[in-house]
Amino acid sequence: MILIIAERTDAPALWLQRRLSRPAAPVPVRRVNPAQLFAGSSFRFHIAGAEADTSVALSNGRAFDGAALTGVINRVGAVPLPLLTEIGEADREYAESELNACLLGWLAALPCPVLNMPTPGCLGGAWHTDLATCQLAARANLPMGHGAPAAHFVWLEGKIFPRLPDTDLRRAVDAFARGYGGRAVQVDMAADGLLGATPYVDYRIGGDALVRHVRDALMSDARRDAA
Amino acid sequence: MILLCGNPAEPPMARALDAAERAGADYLLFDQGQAADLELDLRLDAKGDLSGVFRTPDLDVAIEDLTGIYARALDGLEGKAAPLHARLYEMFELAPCRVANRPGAMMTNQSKPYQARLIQQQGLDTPETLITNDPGAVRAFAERCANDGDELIYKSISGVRSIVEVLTPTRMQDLDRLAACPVQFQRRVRGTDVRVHVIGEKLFAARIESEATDYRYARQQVDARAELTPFTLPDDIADRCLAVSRALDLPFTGIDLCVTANDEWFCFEANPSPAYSFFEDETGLPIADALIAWLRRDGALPRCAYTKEPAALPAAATAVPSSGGE
Repeated sequence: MILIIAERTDAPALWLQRRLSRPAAPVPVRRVNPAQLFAGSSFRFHIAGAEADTSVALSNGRAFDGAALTGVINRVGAVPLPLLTEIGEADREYAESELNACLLGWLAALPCPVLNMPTPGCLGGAWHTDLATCQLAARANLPMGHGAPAAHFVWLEGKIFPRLPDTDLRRAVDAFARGYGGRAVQVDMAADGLLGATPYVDYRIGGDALVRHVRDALMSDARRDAA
Repeated sequence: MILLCGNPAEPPMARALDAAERAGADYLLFDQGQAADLELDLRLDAKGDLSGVFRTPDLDVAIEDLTGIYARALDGLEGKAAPLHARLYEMFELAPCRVANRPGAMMTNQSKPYQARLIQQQGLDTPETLITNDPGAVRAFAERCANDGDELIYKSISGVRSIVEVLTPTRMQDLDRLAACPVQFQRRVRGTDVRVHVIGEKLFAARIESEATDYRYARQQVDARAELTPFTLPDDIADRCLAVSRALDLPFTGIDLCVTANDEWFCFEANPSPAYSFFEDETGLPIADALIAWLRRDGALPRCAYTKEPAALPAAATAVPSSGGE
């Protein structure tokens, strides 16, 4: 099963879910809201030595084990607010830290490919300050831009969508994304250079070609294990 | 020139300042109380290398002239000082010198299970752990541990400081409150606590004897202070501590270990901003001197507690209960 962890308002995630769920899809695709992982659920994350196993039984009766997942699309942006509103004000900040730490540890320990793995700076993937982003761009020979958004690219494990011809720009975008970190990075460009990047990829940018590669990326490890 | 950032009244910073004076180091203290007087200009060149000026009323320091930065906690940089805090963060993150420690690397401590995974990858085991919001899962884990003669302890999942406590039958009655927020439970490891401070490639280890569940709160928990003594680590454990320091990109870290009577070693966590002064006070280990020497890139490091000699644990130390600290 491919699990998409995303809010119901996350349009790129919903689009991806529909595309991955087409009738010929080789594995089922399910989506959960981040809050569902904890609200009225049974959430278990067990670590023994190098092994970590997880199981979540949702309040709607659905359940999944970490070992049964072939891949995860992680769109968690922050600790879901509904989880915090039930907690007294005095404990809210502590609970937010605890839930953030729990999500970070759990997502990072899943035994399947995760797009994207969380980092301590961002639950959704790699994160860099503005200056660090500029440094990565400079080291990739990608100039910083200041104009209006002109193009968006998705870098996924070395492939760029939509396709870029083999030019200096392609090499620069590739080098930048590799330095940025994570399996998937959205690179936003102005006509004169880089505007920014995010691990919260809008998969619609890459269309069906990107969807196919997402599916491959989420299943490749499972296939390797099976082999 | 080295830059020391933090509150000079706080013991770890006070120790570092003393050590800098003793060493005759060329240093600059940035106290957060001086934030209003500080200007910080940062620039990137075409290659992405950082330069800039750290400007105080008395002195301008070129960032590229710094050999090292000790970035201790900076409190109170809010409101008008918030932009300065953001620039300091970027300087600590990108400065082309030694930094103890870079803020991005310090974040791994925000999640103990996240950090534990990275520690395990370096060959140090961590205690069996269950993070859950399910009271039934806790009871089953507690029963399984009890069958092995072990207790459960609980502590924060995040880097927020918490007092490690045993899950007593009385506390078991509160498990229904888990529904609000998952909690971290661990099989209690019984043995001797060992705290290792890594500075660059040097290690300073201290053995801690205490009957308390959390030795930092020994007075509170068992009405007796913890006894700390210098300790020589086995070579393989020393190597793994160095590997953890490198993997976490924490050149200055306080690693909490525990060794059982069966000579099994466990790691509880690696602290990214170690309050080393307590350990230095109790053991005399020259941690501050080593920190300053590392920041100066001084080849003549002070005497080091770690030598590659076989380690022997005193038999009397093997029955001390433990569950780690922060």
